[in-house]
Amino acid sequence: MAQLSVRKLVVNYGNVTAVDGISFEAQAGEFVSLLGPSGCGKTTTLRCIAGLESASAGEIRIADRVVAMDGREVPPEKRGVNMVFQTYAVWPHMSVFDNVAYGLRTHRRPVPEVAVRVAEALQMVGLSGFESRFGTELSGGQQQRVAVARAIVMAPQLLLFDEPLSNLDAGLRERMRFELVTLQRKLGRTSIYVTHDQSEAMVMSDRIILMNGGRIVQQGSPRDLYERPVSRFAAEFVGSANLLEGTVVAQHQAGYRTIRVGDGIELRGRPARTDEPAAPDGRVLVCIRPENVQVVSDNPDGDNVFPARVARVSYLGAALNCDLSLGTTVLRVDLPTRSGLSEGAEILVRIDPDDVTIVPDDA
Amino acid sequence: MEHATPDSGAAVPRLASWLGSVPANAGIGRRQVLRAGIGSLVALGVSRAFAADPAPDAALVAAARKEGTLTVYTPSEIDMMVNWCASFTQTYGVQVKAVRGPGYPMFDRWLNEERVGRHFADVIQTSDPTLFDSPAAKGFLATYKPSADPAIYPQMKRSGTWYGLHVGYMGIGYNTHRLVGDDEAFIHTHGWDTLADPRWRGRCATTAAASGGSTYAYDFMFMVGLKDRYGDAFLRKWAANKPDIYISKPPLFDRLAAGQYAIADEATAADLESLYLKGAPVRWVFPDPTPAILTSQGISAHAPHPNAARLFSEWSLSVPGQTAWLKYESSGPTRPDVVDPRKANKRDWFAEPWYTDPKTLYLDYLTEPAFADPAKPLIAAWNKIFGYGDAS
Amino acid sequence: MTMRSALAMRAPRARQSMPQRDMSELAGLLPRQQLRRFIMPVSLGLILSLLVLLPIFFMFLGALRSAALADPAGHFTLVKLRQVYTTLPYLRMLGYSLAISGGVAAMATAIGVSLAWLIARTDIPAKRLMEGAVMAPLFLSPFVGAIAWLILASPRAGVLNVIVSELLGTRAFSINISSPGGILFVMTLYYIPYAYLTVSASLRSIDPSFEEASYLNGAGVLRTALRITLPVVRPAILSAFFFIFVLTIGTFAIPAVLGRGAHVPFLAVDIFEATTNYPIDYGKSAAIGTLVFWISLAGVSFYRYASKAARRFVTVTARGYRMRLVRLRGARIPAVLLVGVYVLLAIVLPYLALIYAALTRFTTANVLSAPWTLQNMVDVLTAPEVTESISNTLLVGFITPTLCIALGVCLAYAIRRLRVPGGRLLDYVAMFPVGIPGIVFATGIFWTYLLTPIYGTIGILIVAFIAAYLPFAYRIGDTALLQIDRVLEEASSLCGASHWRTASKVTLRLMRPALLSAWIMVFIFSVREVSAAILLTSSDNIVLSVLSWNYLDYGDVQKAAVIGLLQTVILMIGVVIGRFVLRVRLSRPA
Repeated sequence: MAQLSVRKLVVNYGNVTAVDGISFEAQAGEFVSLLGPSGCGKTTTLRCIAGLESASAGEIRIADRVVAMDGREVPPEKRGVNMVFQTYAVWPHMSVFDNVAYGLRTHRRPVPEVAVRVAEALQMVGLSGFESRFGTELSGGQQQRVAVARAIVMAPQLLLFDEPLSNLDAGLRERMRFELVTLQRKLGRTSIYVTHDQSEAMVMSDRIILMNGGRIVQQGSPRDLYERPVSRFAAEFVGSANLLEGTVVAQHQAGYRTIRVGDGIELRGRPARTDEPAAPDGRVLVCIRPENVQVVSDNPDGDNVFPARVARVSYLGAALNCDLSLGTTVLRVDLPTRSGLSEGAEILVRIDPDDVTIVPDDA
Repeated sequence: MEHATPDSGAAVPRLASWLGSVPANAGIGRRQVLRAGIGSLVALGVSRAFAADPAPDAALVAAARKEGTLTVYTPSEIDMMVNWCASFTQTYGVQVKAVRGPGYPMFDRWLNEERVGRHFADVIQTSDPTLFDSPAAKGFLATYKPSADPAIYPQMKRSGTWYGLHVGYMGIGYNTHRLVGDDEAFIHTHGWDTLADPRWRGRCATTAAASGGSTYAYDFMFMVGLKDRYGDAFLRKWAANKPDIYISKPPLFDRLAAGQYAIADEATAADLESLYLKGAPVRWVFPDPTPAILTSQGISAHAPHPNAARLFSEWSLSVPGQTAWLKYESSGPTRPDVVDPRKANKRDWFAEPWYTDPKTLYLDYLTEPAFADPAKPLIAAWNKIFGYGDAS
Repeated sequence: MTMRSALAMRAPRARQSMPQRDMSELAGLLPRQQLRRFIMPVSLGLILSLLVLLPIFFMFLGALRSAALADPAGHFTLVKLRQVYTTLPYLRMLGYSLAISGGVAAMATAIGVSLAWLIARTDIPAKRLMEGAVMAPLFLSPFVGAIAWLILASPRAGVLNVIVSELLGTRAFSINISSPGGILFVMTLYYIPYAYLTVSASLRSIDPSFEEASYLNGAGVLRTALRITLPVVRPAILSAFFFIFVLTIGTFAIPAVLGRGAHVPFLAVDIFEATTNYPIDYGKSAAIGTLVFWISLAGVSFYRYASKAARRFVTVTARGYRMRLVRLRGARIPAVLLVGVYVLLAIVLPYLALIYAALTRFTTANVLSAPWTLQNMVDVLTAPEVTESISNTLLVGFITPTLCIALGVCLAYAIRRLRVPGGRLLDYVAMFPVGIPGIVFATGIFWTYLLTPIYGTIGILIVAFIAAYLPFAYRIGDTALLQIDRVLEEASSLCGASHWRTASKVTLRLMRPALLSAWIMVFIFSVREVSAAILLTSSDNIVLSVLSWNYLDYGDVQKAAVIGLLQTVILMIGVVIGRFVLRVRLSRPA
């Protein structure tokens, strides 16, 4: 049974369609991210699930209960969901304890139960001892934890996160990612997480729903999305990628194809999906991730081996980020630091055909 | 004080003819100008002719006590009014709520309340009794003849409808600190023509004709009543002195006392007496004839406390009632047998050499149809002469 | 399942349109629009109709009648309107009124903005004291302030004039407060706090990097203030201007008190005179009222436009900026002097004049030989009607702001948060009273409530004041609501709280500082208000302001002054309670 099911959701603001008929599901305990650039409709979708925004059409079910259909809706306070906001929304006029206890008190839970559950929640987010502080006396990270504690204390059927880490500085953000995931795994709550940060989505999610222009572009596991992007947008948005325009010149068994790019380089690769029909005129995009290009010795063997010249080198610590010229084609690649390359070096490189993803040229 | 036996024949105060006293102005004889002689001599002379008012009917007192309270709409000063009404309450144990407001709005409010059937006021007072004519004709006023009826001067009542409570005189007030040379002697010898003298230019003030009924009555005397003696020509000379024009009298007299002006006209006793008593350097004269305003009262036809209203009417027109008022304001009574104790004992300004009582009162406007004309045409004419308001 | 059935009851109409197959599942769905679409706007509309629209309707009706509304002899006529709208005396008066109100608004805004800039953006010493000083004139009713200035500076007999002429031996420097210039001056004094209030919040909340960038580009303090700071808060300045313009054009007290000896042509004064003087002409007062109404409506539109723009410009963020203050250095003393002169003119001198009047037997310019007495004080404080009106004043002073703020908040919440249909209309109507002269509005209230039980009771004053001050309560409530991040309320909904619980536990709590300062403001206004009260007074509802008006009407400046001082004492007690018990500040930190 899906914990959340969104079917043909449409949200219009006047003439603007913010969400254009999207459908997806989240299974119990699953951590699903809605990923996309700003304005792609991810936050609107999340707010519709919460009931903070009205759907123009479509249906939303939470734990198999219809909460929105054809413009009629269950109000947010009756949906049994909770949310962590981008700006934390910690009430400044209440103490940490009162903030977290708010929902329990709203539901008239007995006082001892409130005390126990609030203490549990605060302990879980590492804020024990902060009970009597006020929101304004806390750092951003601590406010974030209060917001999380307030959301989980009610044991909601769905936990919603609206870019909760985007206001934190880089180090803290990194740490909070793992804390949130750990917490979510521990609680086993179905979570919907909105972010525009692909690395965040990759690290945290069981499944990523990639959105653009109010529609779903692709959904799948982080690995799926990274390794098998189905469009130029998906390839560009998730991770960095070299995208080369080319033409299919030959088909091989097991779905492999040969693509000619630039001034005559022929690459062997395979489509993201096996059922992908070739474009009528054979024009496609080839996607190569920077880390999938290897330097090989003088005596190469197999497919996709090319001579290259190192045009630029940047030292990144964990890797060398280089621009390699393959004739007129330039690839941006990450090479091991110990390879010790310098600008102007002539080398041979190899790209595993399984790492060359053919993507339909939808531009 | 002793009282003689009742003699209804003497109930009419002595009237003198303006024509008789000022033969030079025989030309105005076509208007019948009535005068009420109000000098102490006259008042004392006729007082002996009346009996003490009979005590109010015991049944009325009982009924009024049962109602317990009444509401009076009044234009009179609130503190005076409250104190005066307290005497009534003391005598009969009936509370009085006095609602004070500017005269015309107050009266208008009562009318509007009656028109829509909201009855709050029991007794209505106004300084312009002509206002009572129309509501009386429409049945908004109760018909009630208090036992004091025969004692009231005939031109100061419409029997059964409204009765005058007290009379205010209007004269010329001046600030002695602002006078120079023979100014004071001049004021005392030139009657109303004082105002026409150019010496006051730039140190005088007056009240706009539009400011209220008393002002309108005052200007009516010059512009209509005694048109041939004074008329527009006189007012033009007064206007040539460029008096500051006030729309309300009290602030004017406050400024007179403060020394902003040397003289101002339309000064009533009420305006100046209290300032005099507080030690302000003000004095006043009542040139002859003296325009008078008659503060009068009627009972609302739908008075919520009809018996209390009647009892109040009985008391306020009785000798004790009118005498009680004189404690607060030395206006003229509306019946000859009321004696102003201060006057009788030559107290306060009555002891001053500069003070003289008014000789003849001008009250004729009460019977002039032109006065009651709701369009009040004199206002525009007055404004034009003085270059005031819309006409400026 | 209980929830489901409860919801089903609230959604009868929408249910009919649902397809049959979904009945069981959808019975639990609440059409959330139902409440906001119908109940809220209708009930708020009803309240506003009773408070605002009906009185305005009676104003227009009155302008079309030849006699009082209840007078059966009256008939419909266009005479009054034609007279007021097309004849020269009125058009000239209109010109004068626009000029005076425009002048007052311009000067009050200029001075108010300067003071706000000094206090908000510079290192002027004793800021809280300074701010208190600038706000203090609010405690003095403009009407009483005008009386005080009459005592101080009437020609020939004003205390200041006499002192100056005695000292210099010449009358050359005599001030005439009863001139158009004097009226402009006194009105400006008493409207400066409004400009200060409107602009200082904006000045405090500008992003300081705007100014910092200007300094780094080599601009000096003055240039930065004129080229950067003021343009950024220009919409706030404009809204202050139009607000004061609208307030002054409908106010009669100052020109009526000061203009008595000079007859300054001012529309609001003419309205007052038409309802007080001889012969009473309600038609004329209503007709002039409609004229003022249209002008004010235009002013209100500009004000709304400007204040909307003001919000766009000003960054309200949660980040606590460390405000960089302009160092005045040598200009500190002149700056303090400027505030000092203002306080001297608006507070110190008027109160000295009032105390002087209260302690003398009659008004005299000769301070040295003044007839001192305590009798006025004794008389006033022992008079039964004074005791009664103090308790009435307190009653009105506490009930009016409470109900007024409640209504203002409901309106702001319905319009801004629930986005009820017809919200724009409600928004406009709620602002109407600010543009209607108090007397005309009171006349409208009179006719609206004449037949109801509250007529003649303290209730009618409360109703009139609530309506008159609704625009203030509504605006402040609206601004406060705007500054509350919606997510704070959404977080509450998601914790399972209903609309009501969210509103009471989160929204109202966060608005509390602003609402308390609005409460104090309306409290001050209600204790001070004269014009709307005069017409509605009766034996049971006399208040101090009306009593002082009555004393003045009977020439008793001394008692009027005592009452004026008494009012101030009451206001100060109220504000001290607010400030130190409830910790309210009149000017809201942004």
